Amino acid sequence: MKKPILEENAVLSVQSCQKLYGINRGCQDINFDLYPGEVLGIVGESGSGKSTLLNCLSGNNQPDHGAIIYRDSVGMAQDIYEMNEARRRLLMRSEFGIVKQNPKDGLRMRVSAGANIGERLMAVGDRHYGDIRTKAGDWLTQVEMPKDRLDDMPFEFSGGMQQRLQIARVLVTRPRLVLMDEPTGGLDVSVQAKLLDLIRSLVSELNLSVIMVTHDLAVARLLCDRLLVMQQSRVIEQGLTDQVLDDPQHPYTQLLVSSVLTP
Amino acid sequence: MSYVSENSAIVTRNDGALLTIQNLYKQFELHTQKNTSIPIFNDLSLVFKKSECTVLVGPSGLGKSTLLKCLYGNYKIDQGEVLVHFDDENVDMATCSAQMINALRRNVIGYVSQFLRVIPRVPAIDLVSEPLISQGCAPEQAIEKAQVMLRRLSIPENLWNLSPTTFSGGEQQRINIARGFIADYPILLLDEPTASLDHRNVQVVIELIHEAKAHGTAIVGIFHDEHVRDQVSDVTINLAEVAQ
Repeated sequence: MKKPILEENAVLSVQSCQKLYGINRGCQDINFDLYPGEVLGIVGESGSGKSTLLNCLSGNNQPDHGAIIYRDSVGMAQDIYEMNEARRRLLMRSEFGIVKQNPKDGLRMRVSAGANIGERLMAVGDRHYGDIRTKAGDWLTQVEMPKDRLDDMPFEFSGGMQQRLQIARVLVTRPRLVLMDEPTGGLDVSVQAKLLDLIRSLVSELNLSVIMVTHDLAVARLLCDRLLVMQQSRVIEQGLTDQVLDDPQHPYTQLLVSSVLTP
Repeated sequence: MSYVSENSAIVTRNDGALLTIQNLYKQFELHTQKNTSIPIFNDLSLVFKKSECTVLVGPSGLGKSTLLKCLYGNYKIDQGEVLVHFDDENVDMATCSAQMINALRRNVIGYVSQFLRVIPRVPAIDLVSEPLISQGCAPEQAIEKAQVMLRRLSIPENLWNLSPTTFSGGEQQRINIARGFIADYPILLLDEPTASLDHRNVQVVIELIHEAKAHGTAIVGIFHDEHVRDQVSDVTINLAEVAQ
């Protein structure tokens, strides 16, 4: 029998990343590699540093120490904070996709749904109005929204639809690395199931690598290949999702897992 | 030293071993429950060979399911080795990366559990074809195989495009069985696959096990039903005798 061949090159390699706002506030000693097609979940209580870490990874918050090395589509690996501003910004709007917890932070609320999607396309060089409109319409269908809402404003949409519009806006440029902060937080469960299915199928179709911060261990179980558990700025346990959830080693992880209500 | 078997792509060590447990230790430390320690395995060593079905027996609480979970990478191994034997090297599941375990689960080790855990809204037919697609099989072909499997396991055709979250217990179990047997894994772990099945479907599972064995698969299983055990078992291991 043949040994499986593993992808050797990580899309993202985080080495000793640290960003502290006080003693054990923020994140420190963070080390992990993310491979193509992998979904990594970050779980932990509020204030444990999950969002600080995600902001460091998304180019918005320079770490005090450590390296965040991204390997781009042509195979060049570089620390995202060591490249020049112009290149970093280009990467952030083409190969990176950042989905905000609150869709209002990720969308432009006073331009149409179509323009929200089209804007990302124009940012990477698309110019043909007809093409952009067609692609925007296709993506609206992909996230299961009616095409005839293309000219409506995001503020006319429900929260769940805004979140799906945000995902369409982010994915239209076919990013390789998607960072999500609580993508299903605050949505009712039927919309949540819809989004989980959508994210799962997009990950496999587009071979996306995803890092997702979530409070919801059930969501983590269904979507993530691996988990990082954070407490007081540090990763206290990491590993295969089902191993971390079914056989947690650290006292805090045991507490976290045993506190969940299963419906 | 390895050879290719006649009718399958499974290549093994000379003695036919696909999976070896060496000096396995496992205990659960319950930090949040009065720091209780529950010892399970104390220096356990076993070998599982190709085309053989090993049945784990013994009273409940001895770690039969725990052993399957250790072999699937679901439970952490405290000490010892779980070796998967490949053509020219072994992979130790106790120490290999999460990335490797995910690859092993995709291509090498299948697991049929008693409970179905899936994303809501995904149709049964997609869940059953998914293991093949993730191995690189063309979707049309995978769907075709999934249809054959669902038909064999008597899942009514009008349910194929529905999510199994609303199926009966027996139907959900059959979806798990279909997912486990569709991809011809070289190693297959079965945790009471026939627990909630009627006689006819139990017969189908026995057939599937025989076919997998003929194909070279090493099977490790827990079966409470004696009739099933008698039909499929090549080796019986009583954990009460070997685990302590």
